[in-house]
Amino acid sequence: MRVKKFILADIQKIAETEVDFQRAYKYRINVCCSSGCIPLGALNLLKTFEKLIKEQDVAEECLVARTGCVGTCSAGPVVVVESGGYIYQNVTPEKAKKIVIDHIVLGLPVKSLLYESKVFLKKQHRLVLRNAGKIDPYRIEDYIATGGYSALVKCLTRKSPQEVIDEIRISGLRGRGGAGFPTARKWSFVARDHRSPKYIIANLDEGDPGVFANRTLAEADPHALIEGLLIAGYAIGAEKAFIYTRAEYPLAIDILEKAIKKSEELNILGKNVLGTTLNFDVELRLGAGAFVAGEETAIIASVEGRRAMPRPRPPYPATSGLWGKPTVIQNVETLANIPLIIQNGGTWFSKIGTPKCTGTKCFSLTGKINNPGLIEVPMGIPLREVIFDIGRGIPDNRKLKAALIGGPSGGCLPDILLDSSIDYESLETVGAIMGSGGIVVIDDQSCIIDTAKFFIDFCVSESCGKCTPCRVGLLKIKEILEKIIQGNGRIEDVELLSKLSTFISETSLCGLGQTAPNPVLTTLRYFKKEYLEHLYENFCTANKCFKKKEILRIG
Amino acid sequence: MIKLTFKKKSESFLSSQSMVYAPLKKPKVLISMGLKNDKRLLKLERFLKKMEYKGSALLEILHKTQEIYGYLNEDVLKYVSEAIELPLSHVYGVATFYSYFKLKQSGEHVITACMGTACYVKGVEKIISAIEKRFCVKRGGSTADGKLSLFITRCIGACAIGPTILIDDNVVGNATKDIVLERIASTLESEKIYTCRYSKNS
Repeated sequence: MRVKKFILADIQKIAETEVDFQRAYKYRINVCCSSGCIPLGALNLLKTFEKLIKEQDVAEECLVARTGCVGTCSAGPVVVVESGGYIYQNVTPEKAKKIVIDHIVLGLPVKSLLYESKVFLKKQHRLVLRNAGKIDPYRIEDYIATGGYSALVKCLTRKSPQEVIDEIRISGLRGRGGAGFPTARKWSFVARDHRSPKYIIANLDEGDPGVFANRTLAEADPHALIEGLLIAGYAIGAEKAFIYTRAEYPLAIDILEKAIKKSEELNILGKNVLGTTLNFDVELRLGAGAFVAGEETAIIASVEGRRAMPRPRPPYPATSGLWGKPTVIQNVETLANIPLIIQNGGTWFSKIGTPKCTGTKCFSLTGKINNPGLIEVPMGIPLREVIFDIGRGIPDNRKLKAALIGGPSGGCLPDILLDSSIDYESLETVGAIMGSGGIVVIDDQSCIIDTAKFFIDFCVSESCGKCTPCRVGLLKIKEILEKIIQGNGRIEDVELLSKLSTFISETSLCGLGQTAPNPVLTTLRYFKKEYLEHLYENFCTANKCFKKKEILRIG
Repeated sequence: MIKLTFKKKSESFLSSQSMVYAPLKKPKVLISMGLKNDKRLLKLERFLKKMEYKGSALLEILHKTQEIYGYLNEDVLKYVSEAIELPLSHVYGVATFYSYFKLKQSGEHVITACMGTACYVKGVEKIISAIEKRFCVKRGGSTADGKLSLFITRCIGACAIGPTILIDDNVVGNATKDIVLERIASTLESEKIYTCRYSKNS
């Protein structure tokens, strides 16, 4: 039997069949089965709902589907009933029964169980996360029905590779991995190169502690990533892509593996994509717990099967990347933006956000905050709105001490700086970086020096050890901070810390070392008073330091 | 050192899938490497073949090896290095560089505490030290009887429900000291009381 080869026109057919299939149902119950909700029993809930609609005899008008993250992780397990987007929070099997009977059978939404979503969703601009919580990540048809892969078809039929790059240039899209390098420029370097093969690496090595935006995106909408890779491959002339993901993300790995397999079955990946001359393969590569592997030259080493150690640049990966070949390394969120830009045009995209930083950015909002979760906001929104409107402020009416933005290499911003807007340049002027998109809020129960030490600790253990400033310098910073915390600090230490930090960030080889002292530099800049209190008065506002630790002896 | 010859891309072994205990190598060679010719080795060999004995797939191979053997011992690393024709120093270097690879056998039950920023801010440190005290285990180590290991990981990505603790593969979200200690105790299913001696500053 010959396997049917899918061609371009089939995408349209699949979409139509799927839309018809879904239209037959009056309701759709979306059970959020993301990494946040599964530990709270989401998978059981899915089974409960499937059983319930059969029991209540509404299986013909109600569809139960598992989806990715809805975004309101604090209210998990979350269930969304469409149409209408009713978000139910903290759903238990008992509540599930009530929802099915009241909402599905009788048509009356259960108001007491609803999640207050007005502000949470109003301030957001969900583009990349448009499908998160709405489609089943295991079903490619669901993605196609929402207009998925139509951007790819558009590229293959109506756009030349150069036109694709031009469209991205007009959109002003910049890399979402942290540094904010213009995507179109990166692509055109590689597109101009006539050597082959060329490679693309999708960076899903989200090693920053406290950040889960990329992971959730890949778990919720894996095909957007694959489509982005395909379009990038078409534009630059690459035939092979690697998705480099953390081994600690079993759900993301499973979803991506199945998504790749399904795309291959539909001839979207492989030889002669959808009957055209484009050949494209995607391979999943697992990291193994190295934060430094997020750096672009380190990720190359890791994909090649070596230790993830960065090397000096130039040559940049665009000229000498994977196995010495031209390589584009792109963050997952950037890639997920690509299909949208192609579909709606670069001009449309460039109007979102600020003129210099277009588009939106996903953030994982965590820490001491009332409403943690996954959010997407337009660039240029003030940090205060994110924390106090979307995040609904600090629990127990405590005072915000700092917002940590950009992970361990970002900065600690105090309350007075919360009005600065979220874009690459503004954050850089205040000493933080965008990073891969994590905001962790700390309240007055945390000691700022202890927090700085936590980050330095992380960077010390993750430093690859190749260059001396990072390997030795960070360790020295850690020692000084420990001394201050134990109450043995000297007055000169403040100046020494600031000198050492500046030295490390100026002389380190890669991004890890260059940004690792940021937490120390920003805390010295904005919380100098606390350092001095520790040094002069042996006083810690959070009452955390100067405690002698009990030493454990096993016997 | 005994030189093994691996025929690449040939059908030398595993030609018949029906043989479960296919004679992979001469038993003597394997014994000298400290490995048994068993199902686990067969699985590993099958995977190596799938990866075409490529050195670039080293990380995948180590992942699979750890999945099969539970940890990476020296003998199996030697075997892998011979198979993919890379120096043992390289293979060992990669295995030690990445924190995901374990070179020591872990306990029967594994507790993994998430030490991401969000969990740290929410006080996971207290829970970890409570586990250390109650079960007499140090972070990164195992109990004396090998029943329990305690590891620290850098973020499992479930930050919104932090602090999170993994007991074997089950995630405990919004964890508190009492819940975690109780859950671990019930996992261990034994009434054994771990006794530790404490002393200050020694």
